[in-house]
Amino acid sequence: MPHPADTVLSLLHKHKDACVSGQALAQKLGVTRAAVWKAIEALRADGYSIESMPAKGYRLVSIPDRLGEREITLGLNTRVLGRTVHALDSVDSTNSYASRLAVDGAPDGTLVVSESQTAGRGRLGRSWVSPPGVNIYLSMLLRPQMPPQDAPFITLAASVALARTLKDGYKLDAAIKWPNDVLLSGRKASGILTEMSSEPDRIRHVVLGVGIDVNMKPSEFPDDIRAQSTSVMAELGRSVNRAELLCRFLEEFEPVYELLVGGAGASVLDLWRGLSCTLGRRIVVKTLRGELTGLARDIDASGGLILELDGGTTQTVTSGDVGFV
Amino acid sequence: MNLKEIKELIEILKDTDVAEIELEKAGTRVRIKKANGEGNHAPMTYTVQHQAAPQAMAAQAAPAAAPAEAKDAAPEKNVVVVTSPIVGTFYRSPSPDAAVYVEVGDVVKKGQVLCIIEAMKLMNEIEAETSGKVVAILAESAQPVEYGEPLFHIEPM
Repeated sequence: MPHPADTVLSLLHKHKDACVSGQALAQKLGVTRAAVWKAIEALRADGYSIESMPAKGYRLVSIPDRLGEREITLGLNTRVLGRTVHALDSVDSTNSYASRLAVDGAPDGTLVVSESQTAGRGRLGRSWVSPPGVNIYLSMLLRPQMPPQDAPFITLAASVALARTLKDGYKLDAAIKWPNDVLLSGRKASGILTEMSSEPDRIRHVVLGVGIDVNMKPSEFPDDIRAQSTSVMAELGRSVNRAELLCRFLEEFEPVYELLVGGAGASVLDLWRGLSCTLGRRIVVKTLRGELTGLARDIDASGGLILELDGGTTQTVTSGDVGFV
Repeated sequence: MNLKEIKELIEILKDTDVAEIELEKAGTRVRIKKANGEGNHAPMTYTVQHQAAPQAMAAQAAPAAAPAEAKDAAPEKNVVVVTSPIVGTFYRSPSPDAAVYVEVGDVVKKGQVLCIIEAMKLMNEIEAETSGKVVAILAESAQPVEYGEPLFHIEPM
C-alpha cells in the first residue's frame, strides 16, 4: 500500500492548477482530515511547496528540484521506460551501474539516475563532467528484440527525443550534431554514450547513457570545454526542474524507441535528418586515424555519416568527432 | 570450400530447426552451429579445421593406423573465428592511452572482452565466446570493419 503522502501528492499533482479540499483528500484516502494535514506537512518537509487556501483546500505549487524516485514517478507517463527507477545520490557512472543491474537481470526500461557521478564517462575513455545537484545523469537499460547491427539507431533516436524535448517543451534552439550531440544555439548541452552487450545475432542488453547539462552555470564548465558548452539554464535564463525535464524526455523517447523496435528505423532516420544541424555543412571529422574534411551529404541506412571529401570522393564514417569549418 | 559456400550453408541453416551442421570436403571440415539452437538465430560460431594432408590419402596408405598417423603428421588447427556483429570502428583498447585488451598468444576466458566496435557512439564490447588462445588478430585499431568481418582467431582450450 502506498504511503498516504504519496497518494496525497499524486492527487494534488493530478489537479495541478486547482485546489483539492482536505475533505476530498480524506475521503479518497479513507483517513481523517488530521491525517491529511500530517501528510501535507510531511511533503512540505520533503521540499514540496503546497499552498493551503482557507475553505478551498490545498494546491501543489512546485516540486523540489531533485532526481528522487518520488519526483520522477510522480510525473511520468510511460509504459515501460522508467517504470523501475534507481535514484542515487552518487555513483561511479550510471552506465556502469546499469550494466551491473543488467547482468543481475533487471527489467527492460530500468532507469538509473544520479545526482552526481564520480567517474562519469564519455567516448573512448574521456570523462563527463558531473557536478552534484545541477544536471541529469541517466542510464536506461534496454532489452530490444532486434539485430545488433540496428542498435546504433537507438543512439540517434535518443538524440531525436532530447532535441524535441528541448525544442518543443522549452522553446530552445535545439539541433543535433552527428551522431547524437544535442546542441543549444550551436553549443553542446548533452552527450549520449551507449554501451551494448550482444551475441553475433542477438542483443543481450543496451545501456543508453545520457548526460544533460541543465542548471549548470557557464563558469562551472572546465576551461577546455567552456567555450563550446552550454546548459538549459544558460540558454533559458532561468533554472528548470530536472525531474520534469527527465520525464518529458522519457515520454518523447518511448514512442520513437517503439518505432525503432517495430522495424521503422528508416522513419527515425528521417526524424533525425529533420533535426540535424550537420547535414549540408562543411565539417571536419576527427578520428584516431586522422582528420577528414568535406561536406556532410547525408546519413546512410544505418546512420553512418556520408561525407563528400574535398577531392570529390565520398566516404562513410561510423565514428569520430564532428567540428564545423 | 570457400566463404560463399559457407555463407550458403548458414542461409540454409537459418530457416530450419537444425541446430548444427558438420561436413567435410577436400580435407576441410566445417561445423556450423546456431546461436542457441532454438531457431531463428544466425550462427554464433563457425569452426574451420585445416588439414595439411587430405584424410582420404592417409587412410589409403595405412588404413588401420590412419587417424593417429594423420594427427601426428599434421596437427589439426582448430580455430574459432570471432566476427564483427555490426558495421563500425574497431578498437583494441578502451581508450587510446590504455593497454590493449588482448595480444596474440594471450589465453582468454569465455566472456572476456576482446575489443570494442563503435558505431554512432554505440560501443559494443566483443567478448570471447569460448576460452582459448588468441592465435591471430585480423584488424588494426581504429580501422573500419564490416558486418561479419573476421576479427580474431581463437584456438579453443
